[in-house]
Amino acid sequence: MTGLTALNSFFLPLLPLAALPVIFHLFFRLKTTPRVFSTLMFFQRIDPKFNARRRLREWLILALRTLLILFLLLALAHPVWFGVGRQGPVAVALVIDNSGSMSGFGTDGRTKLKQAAAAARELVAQLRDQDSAGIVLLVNDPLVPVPLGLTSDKLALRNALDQLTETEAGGSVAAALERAGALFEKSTASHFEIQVFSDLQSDKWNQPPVNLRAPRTGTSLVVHRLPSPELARVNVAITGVRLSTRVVLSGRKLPVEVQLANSLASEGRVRLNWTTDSGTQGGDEVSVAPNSEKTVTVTLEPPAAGQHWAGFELAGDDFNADNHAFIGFNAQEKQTVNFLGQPADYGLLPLALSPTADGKLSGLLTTFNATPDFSGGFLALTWDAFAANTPALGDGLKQFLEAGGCALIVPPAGAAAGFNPLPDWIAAVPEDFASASNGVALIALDKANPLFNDLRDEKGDVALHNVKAFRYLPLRTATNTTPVLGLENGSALLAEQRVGRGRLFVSGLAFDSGWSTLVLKPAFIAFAQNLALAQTGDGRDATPLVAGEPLRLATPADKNIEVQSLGGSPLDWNGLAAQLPTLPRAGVYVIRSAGGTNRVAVRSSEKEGRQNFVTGDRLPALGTLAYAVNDYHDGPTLASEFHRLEKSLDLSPLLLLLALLALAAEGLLANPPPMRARPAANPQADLKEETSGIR
Amino acid sequence: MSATYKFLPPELADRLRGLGVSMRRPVEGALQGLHRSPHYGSSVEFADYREYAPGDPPNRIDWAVYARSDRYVIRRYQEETNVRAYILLDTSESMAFRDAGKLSKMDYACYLAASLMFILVSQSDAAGLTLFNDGVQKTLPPVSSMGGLRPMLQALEAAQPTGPSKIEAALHTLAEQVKRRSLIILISDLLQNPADTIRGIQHLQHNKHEVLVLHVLDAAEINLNFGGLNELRELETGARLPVHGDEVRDAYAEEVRKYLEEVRRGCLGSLADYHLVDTRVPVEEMLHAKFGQS
Repeated sequence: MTGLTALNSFFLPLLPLAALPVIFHLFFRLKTTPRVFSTLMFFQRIDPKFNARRRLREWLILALRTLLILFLLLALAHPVWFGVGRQGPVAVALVIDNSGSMSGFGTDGRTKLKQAAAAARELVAQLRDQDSAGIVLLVNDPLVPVPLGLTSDKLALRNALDQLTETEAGGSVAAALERAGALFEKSTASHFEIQVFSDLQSDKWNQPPVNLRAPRTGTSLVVHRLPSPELARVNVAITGVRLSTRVVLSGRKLPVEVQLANSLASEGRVRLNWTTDSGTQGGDEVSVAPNSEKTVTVTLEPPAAGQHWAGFELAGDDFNADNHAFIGFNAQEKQTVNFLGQPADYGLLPLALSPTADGKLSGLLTTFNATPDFSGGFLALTWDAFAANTPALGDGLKQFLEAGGCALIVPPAGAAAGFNPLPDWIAAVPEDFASASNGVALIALDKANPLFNDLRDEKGDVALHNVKAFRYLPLRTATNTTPVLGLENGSALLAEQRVGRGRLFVSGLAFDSGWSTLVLKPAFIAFAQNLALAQTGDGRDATPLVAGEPLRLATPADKNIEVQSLGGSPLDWNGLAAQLPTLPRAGVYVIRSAGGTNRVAVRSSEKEGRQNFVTGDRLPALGTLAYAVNDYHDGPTLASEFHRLEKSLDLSPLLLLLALLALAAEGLLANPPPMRARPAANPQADLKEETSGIR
Repeated sequence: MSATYKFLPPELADRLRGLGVSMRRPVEGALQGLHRSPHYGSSVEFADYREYAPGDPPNRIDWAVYARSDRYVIRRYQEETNVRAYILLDTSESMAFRDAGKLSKMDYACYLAASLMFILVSQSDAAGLTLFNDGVQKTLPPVSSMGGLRPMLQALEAAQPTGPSKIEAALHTLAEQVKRRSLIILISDLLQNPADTIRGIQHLQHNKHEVLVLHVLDAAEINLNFGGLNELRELETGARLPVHGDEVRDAYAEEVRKYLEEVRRGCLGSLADYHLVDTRVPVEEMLHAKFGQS
């Protein structure tokens, strides 16, 4: 910040507006009424320099108007002359950017966050007894004991700075500045400063602000830019973790897709390590092409039913703050499939799901009931069921689906005629029976459907291996249904409909060899089990979050909340819901409140690894605030600058006074008193009588 | 006068009958008229005696005086003669101004000149006309018959206000040209330095002429009747001046008042008869006010 600095630089680009009076004068001159007159002699006698004086007055008015606008704009720009003026108590808000990008290394081998903490310590050391300071973190970190409000306790300030550790979160510049500005609200200091230490990563600083509140009038805002050397080698980030949409069963393989991204122009060779709550660990070497993404599938196996989590970490990467991700999920011991009716009605489907019916081999437990049992996760029923139980069955099924269950409606294997209509809310409607003695080919109509997950070849195409249908009921589908399996002419034979949180599959094809060759194919077992394990979500029971994202809980602000980490970054926080911090590091956390217990799985923010930094002196994130950007060099330089800033002279009042003077002078010149005639050398007798008749 | 003239319509002529222009000083005239002549002759009004000189007609010797004093003396009588009047009309461009009055100053002055010529000729005096602006433009010698007025009335109709005004020069020229004592009637707006005008009048006065000044002004020249910002263009020079009427009104009126005072006092000091004429006042009304009692 140089000697003379505008604290509200938004108005500086408006300074050319001061030329408006001149422009108006030149291009929009006041129209004068032309008038022929016999002589100008008397006007010249009033004042021999009548015209010259008038022109001079016009230009003076013009100059005063220009000065008025100029002074006003300058006053609004709030210029402050630092290094001059009185020196009083100073209140300083130290805003430390502790976002993930600051975990990158600076020029001296330390992380940028450590550099920022050291620089802030330098400023704290310069504080005098009457000065006060507060610390504001860009990412609210519950692990750092930040003093509340402003304090003159240098020890407490240094202690907080010493405990700063790198986070993996992004942060909000506007929110941090608002917190910094709030520190000054009740301060009696004569000078206020916000000192920001940041690497000015573009993702945070090159974005226009949202709801940015200006700090107290007269507050100086100085941004110290910590240099960011170019990242030399490898920076691969975990951009997401994805579970399959099948029900997670204990003791069964659980594929987990870890999404990676390499933002550098060189190949990223890293090692993806994972660990689970049960202590299982693993790792794979991964190579990600330059500037590309890659998905790595990791197979987990939850040993028992219950809540589990898994954490993923990239090793061998030069930037650490985007290398972690966690996921939490719930495993069931078995999935119950309730059939309504007799096994013969469902053909080979029960056998494909559970050959021993007890779930030993597949984890699927099949039961057959005479009445609908909505207690399981999956319900299978035939078209015939609706003839006897409608509408009670229809209503019960709908509630089951809306609550998150899945169901399948199939024609009875031995059926040969039409069926009673289905409830109105079922959008897939069967048409007339059709048959083909030589069979018609079945194809996947919705190739991305998870039902086909294990039926794809190396290219990713669904391989049904020449499945043919001999008997079938084509389905007429509506817009809220998705045809999954059908004929080459587009007729759907299996359609999926979302109902509430659940999924309903309507089949026009019985799973019997008399209807199609599908049941004779090995792929049928995978297809059937995918069907029975289908669920709306992906099996997570922990809300996924990116580090730094706000937790959205329905807990009232005055209620207590407890946050504990189950895996990843250790945390044990207890406080009011209103003060609930963001979670700045990857991990699995359990949040307990009066409203219940929630789990969140946090991954690091992949944005923090992006090597884009604001290089100029313009910071869009600060909007119209007045600020100065200094490149941080070393502590002594910072200290001397700080001392200079302690003295300042606010020029706004002076400029406002000048503007008022210009306004007053302009008013006097623009509205002059009536002119008087020049005094006569020899006053003559009054001529009123002479001219009275002419008036 | 059977023809109709613009500046002397019959109805105006009718209204002017009975008016007369009188002289304060004796004038030299060729014909017997209403005014005293500086020459002594044989009229009925006795003046004084003088010694007989060879060449005098013997019948003018006063024998009664000879009987009493044994001296040959001749009686002298005050001779009454007609007036030779020269109407000096300003035709400079400033005379074209019209604002408050129904007529421009030029038209008003022409009506005045025509009326005065008619009055003078009607009382057996002779009237001549001189048009001038920055110099004498046209001079028509005095005539004493109605018929003789025709070219002068036609000259008035043909006159156009043009050019700058140099009253003093015109007055000096006229003073040099007119040898006999005459009545000089100056009709002008006198919009120039009053001292210059007065010098010209004094020259005429020095040459024993009687001077009547009819100062014709539009009321709007005396009191500004416009407000706001106006760009004034001077008629004679074309010079322009932005003027805020409300701003200068009082000062302007004061300056005009001083100017009129200067002109009036200058005329009085030069023994000239001065009369300020407002173009809003009808011509015959003005003439009645001025000459109705003579």
